[in-house]
Amino acid sequence: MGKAKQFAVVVSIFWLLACAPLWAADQQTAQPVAPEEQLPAGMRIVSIEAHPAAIELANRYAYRQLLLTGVTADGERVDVTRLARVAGDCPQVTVSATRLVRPVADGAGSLVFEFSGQQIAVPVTVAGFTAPYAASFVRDVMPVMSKLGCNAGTCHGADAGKNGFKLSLRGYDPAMDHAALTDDLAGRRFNRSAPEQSLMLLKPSGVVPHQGGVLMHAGEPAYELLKEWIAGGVALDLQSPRVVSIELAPKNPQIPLPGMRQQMTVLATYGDGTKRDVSAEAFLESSLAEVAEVNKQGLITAVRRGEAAVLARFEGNYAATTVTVMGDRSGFVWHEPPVNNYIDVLVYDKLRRTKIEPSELAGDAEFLRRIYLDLTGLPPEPVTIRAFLGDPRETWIKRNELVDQLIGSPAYVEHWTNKWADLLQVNRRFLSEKGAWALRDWVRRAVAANMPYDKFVHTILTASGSTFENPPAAYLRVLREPVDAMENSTQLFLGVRFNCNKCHDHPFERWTQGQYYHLAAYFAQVKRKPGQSAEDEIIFDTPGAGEVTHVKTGQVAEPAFPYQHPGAIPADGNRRAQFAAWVTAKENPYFAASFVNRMWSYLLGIGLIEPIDDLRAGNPPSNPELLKALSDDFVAAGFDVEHLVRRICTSRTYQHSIVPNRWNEDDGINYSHAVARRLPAETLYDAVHRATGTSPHLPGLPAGFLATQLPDSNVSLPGGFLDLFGKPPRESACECERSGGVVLGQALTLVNGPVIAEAIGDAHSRIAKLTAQYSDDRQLVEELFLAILCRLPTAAERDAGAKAIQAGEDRLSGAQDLAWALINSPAFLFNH
Amino acid sequence: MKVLWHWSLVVVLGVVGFDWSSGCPAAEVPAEGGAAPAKISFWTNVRPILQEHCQGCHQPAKPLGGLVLTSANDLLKRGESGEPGVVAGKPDESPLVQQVTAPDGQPPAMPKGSAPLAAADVATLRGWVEQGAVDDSPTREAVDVDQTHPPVYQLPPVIAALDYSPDSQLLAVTGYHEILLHKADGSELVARLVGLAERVQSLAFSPDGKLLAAAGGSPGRFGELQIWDVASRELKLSKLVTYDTMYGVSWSPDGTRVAVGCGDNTLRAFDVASGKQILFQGAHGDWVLDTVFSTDASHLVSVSRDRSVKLTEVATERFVDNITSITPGALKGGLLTVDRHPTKDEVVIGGADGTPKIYQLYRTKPRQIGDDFNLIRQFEPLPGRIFSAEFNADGSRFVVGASDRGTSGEARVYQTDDGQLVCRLEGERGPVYAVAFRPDGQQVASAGFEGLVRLNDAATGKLIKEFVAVPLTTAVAAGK
Repeated sequence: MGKAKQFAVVVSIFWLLACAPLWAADQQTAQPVAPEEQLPAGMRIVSIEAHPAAIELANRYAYRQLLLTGVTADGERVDVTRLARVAGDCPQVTVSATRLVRPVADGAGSLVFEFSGQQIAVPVTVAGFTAPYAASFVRDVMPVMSKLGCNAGTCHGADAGKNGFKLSLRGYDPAMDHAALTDDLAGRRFNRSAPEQSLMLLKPSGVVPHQGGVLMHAGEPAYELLKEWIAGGVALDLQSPRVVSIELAPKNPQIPLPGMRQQMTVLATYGDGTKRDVSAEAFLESSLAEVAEVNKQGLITAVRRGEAAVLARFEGNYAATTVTVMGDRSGFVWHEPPVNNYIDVLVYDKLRRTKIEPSELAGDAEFLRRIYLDLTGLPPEPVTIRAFLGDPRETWIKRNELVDQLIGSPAYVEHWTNKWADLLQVNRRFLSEKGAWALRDWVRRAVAANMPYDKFVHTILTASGSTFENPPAAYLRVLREPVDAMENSTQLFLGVRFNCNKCHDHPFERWTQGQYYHLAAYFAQVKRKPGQSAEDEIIFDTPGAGEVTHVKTGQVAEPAFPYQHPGAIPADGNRRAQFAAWVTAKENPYFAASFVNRMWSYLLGIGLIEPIDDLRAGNPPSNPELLKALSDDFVAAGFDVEHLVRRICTSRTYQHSIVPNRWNEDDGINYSHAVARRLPAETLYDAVHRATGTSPHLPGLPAGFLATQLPDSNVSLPGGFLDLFGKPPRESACECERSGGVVLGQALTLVNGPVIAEAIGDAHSRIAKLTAQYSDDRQLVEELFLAILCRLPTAAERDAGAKAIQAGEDRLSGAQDLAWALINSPAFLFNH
Repeated sequence: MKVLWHWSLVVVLGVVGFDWSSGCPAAEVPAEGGAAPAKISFWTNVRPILQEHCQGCHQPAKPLGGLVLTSANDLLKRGESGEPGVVAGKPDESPLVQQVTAPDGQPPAMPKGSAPLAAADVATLRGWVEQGAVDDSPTREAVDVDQTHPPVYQLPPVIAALDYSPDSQLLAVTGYHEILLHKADGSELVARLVGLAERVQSLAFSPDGKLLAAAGGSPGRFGELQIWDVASRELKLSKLVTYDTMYGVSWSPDGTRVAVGCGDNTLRAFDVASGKQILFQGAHGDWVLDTVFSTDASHLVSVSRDRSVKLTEVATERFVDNITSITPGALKGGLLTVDRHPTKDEVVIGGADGTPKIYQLYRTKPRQIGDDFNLIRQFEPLPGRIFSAEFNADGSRFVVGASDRGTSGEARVYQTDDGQLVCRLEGERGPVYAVAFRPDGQQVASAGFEGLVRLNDAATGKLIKEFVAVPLTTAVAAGK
């Protein structure tokens, strides 16, 4: 036929009837499948499974992405989708290189695949191929525009659009997008008299120059669907069923070796219950491109051993699964380690599956320093260390006993009070100095009393009155706007980030802009007035007065929760009380989970979900079973924080050594070994003084008070010590405010700065006392090691230490030099 | 010839890729790693490569580096570097080839931010230059819509503009590639004026009714100003201006000049007799969508998607004032329409906020920050955005039409002096993009998304007649 088909300004139904193949597109745009793809040497497939088991295609645009999985004798599963050969004919469909199956003719047949001597037949039924297809804006056009990238944030989805054409970001507002396509400039972008002359086809197909590139060609399904919609009269069918969920398959796939691949499929479920394969339109992203990459066809390529979350997105719905790249683990043998509690059972279950061998149990000294720093923010004293090491009882008995002792101890209370003071933004700039002290004291009493976490949060959210007399009321003194109070509360107490929704639907989660304002409405009737003191403020509610308006519609947003749970919400009462009940209910799936994840990350160094305040479908936990078990345990214990801390700290997992083995040295997320964490600013400051036996002098506090007891961040230390080591300014509740990073300025301060120099040089320091007390250099070395590194020196360290002391100008300066060297060693600067 | 060439480009590109039998794009490129074909065609082999990889950034609307790659002719022009894109016969001296060739394993300079061209594509470009860079683009032969082959419709096109002749006898309506002249009572289609521009965005009869001006173009390609002789149905002038459709054509009261708004953010005016451009003003920050002359033709008023109403002195081509407030936040959304009172220097404007407003053109007091001094009157807003407004012959009333998010529309007649609503036009359903007041004052016409023209009683709003402006065919026209 060639180019014989000439231009005619005719809306011909020719193209509706022409049963032309649409599949050429998949092969042209698909990235070439690596010809070298093969199974690992020695892997033998004993059967093949197909997903779906049968294919039914109901119209000319329907398709299925086929998944073929090979199963080995010992049950391992591996993707053979592209490796299996098509055996025999199935004239009803075509199969692309990535095994996307599209119809070519009505009828029934069978697709047979063969691999490694195994065969599988997939029955195929095609209907409606020649029937006219009524393209829907919501169901067909919106997904195509998303997949082509038209509504991406860098293109027409940008706030100002591009080149005068603006779409809603990632297509969250079909009505707006429809108006942009059909109504702007009196219908500039479509042409129902000559559909193929529509600008919305000419631009993305490159016929008219398009800076966004050539995104489709005539004959491809995307192009033809848009054309059919134009020819059908560019209707807006907002009543068309919407996608209610998507399903990503396979679940948690394992890829044996780097370089190998895994095909993914995405199945959407619509409001009317219909299901549709959307693998070609859905977006897949890998959370960690260094572990696994995913291309536009949903094909994952393993890069190196590790785990990555694969997030699928389609029409405002999200699903995620974790892909594990196993790597070469030949020689790995699982040895069942002893377990202390359910935490270990669930951690080891994952380690066994991913062929990781846990480290040994940490030694007593290692454990002692770790638990002291984690629970009290202070290193243990030498006398404590000696007593613990010398305690002849079984290690579990004394360790559990120690955990019990430390939980609830005064130092524990100060340490965790400081943590909550960060999160509640105890800051005199917002609260006045008196108010800051008052709130900190209230938190301290709550921690000391082990107030159940749900009650703690409920109290904070509902407190009214003078912030001096009822300090938790200060929460809403800091957060003065309904939207700020809502954003802060959801991020802090639920680990859900709603802030994106202020301007548009959330780009990575199902939350919508409407939900943002409906939820903020719960804080719309909170008011503030001056208290008796000029520095005070009174928080109160005015039921019935005060509303939030949706920024885009300008309409009042009635209070409504973004998701429901079976927990009881008071029907009357002020809005804040309803919000607090909703947040703190044990049935709220985010409330307990976000807190246990937070505590877990503080104690283990990395959250089951990271960042810890970003819980969403696309950010799955590294160990979902463990997160659930911890949440359930916490809820069952009545939100008992000390119970949770005890459970974690007495697990064997918490007590793993930091020393890795060949099977876990590359693991950073499965808790197979302890991870080194730089001491937080206050802990480091206090530890320096504790180790050197000196008394800190903090502005505004009596001598001897610790950095962890500071009321807020508004203190300046010589050299900006606390700021430099990341003490949060307390201007938001984001965990990201506290920096645990390592920067050059820190090293310079440690080497050369006043805090350490003064502590070491103090005439009354422990170093001076020990030097006077112990005339034997080797004994002096031992005492300094105990005081600073909380462990005994090795023989070699003892010798080297003695030499260092002797190399000093005098014994004291030699001991100070050694102390300086030890403080500057990672063994002191890190919790490990 | 350039005009014709563009036209053919548009038309022929429309069919490329509609080759159902092969299932591949019609353009054939040499097989991967294979030798370039014996004779390399610009049209068949080179152009698809440029289209796919280059034209987004090197097009008339966005000539980055001063380089345009939408025609072979443009390739021979000198870009910012001072060199032509192609030196015939010498690929190594042709930037087109050098820029896409990888020097010693380094990624090539172009295409910027995208994957390099396939080796076969580079070989095609090189081969074409080597063979002399011959331009074999087809010419006018490919065109098959013209006055003797008017467009054929199965569905009516969106109507973007309407205008009555001054004697109230004719109603001009936009079609696809054409203007349709109907009897003003809708009883008969009297002529079809088929032209180059796919879209006609704006229509205006000359004050004496002898000429009809149309502004439009083909989106993303060219803008066209057409001047038709109404009696003879002859195209007196086809002026191609800018790279996109033009808008808002208006006549100077003496009928010697027309002004248009352009997609390159400019306001332009032309001498009708010679076609010469006599005014060029670039003060707008976005597309200029409507224009009108002052009563004495000394000034032009233009409204734009940039939300502003600008006053331009015709003699000096100088922008002299913003007629509305320009305080940040005062302007809401783009403006789409402006019409001048028949006898006074006052204009009605309408746009994204749906509120018709009347402004005087000349401020009599110095501008104060934040003032809206020239505003005379605001009217009850229409739902959605106003696309069109027109005064009646004595300026006592005006008709205004709007679209609400593209899903519904409304048109109304207002009393100019007291802001009273005279009537709502009965029968409006879809978005209204065009309204016109019949000069005898009896009727108003409106049209828009649905492709229907409605004639309503101007005083009562009662629907008098409703008709499809284009001849529809039910026959299935097969491809030739």
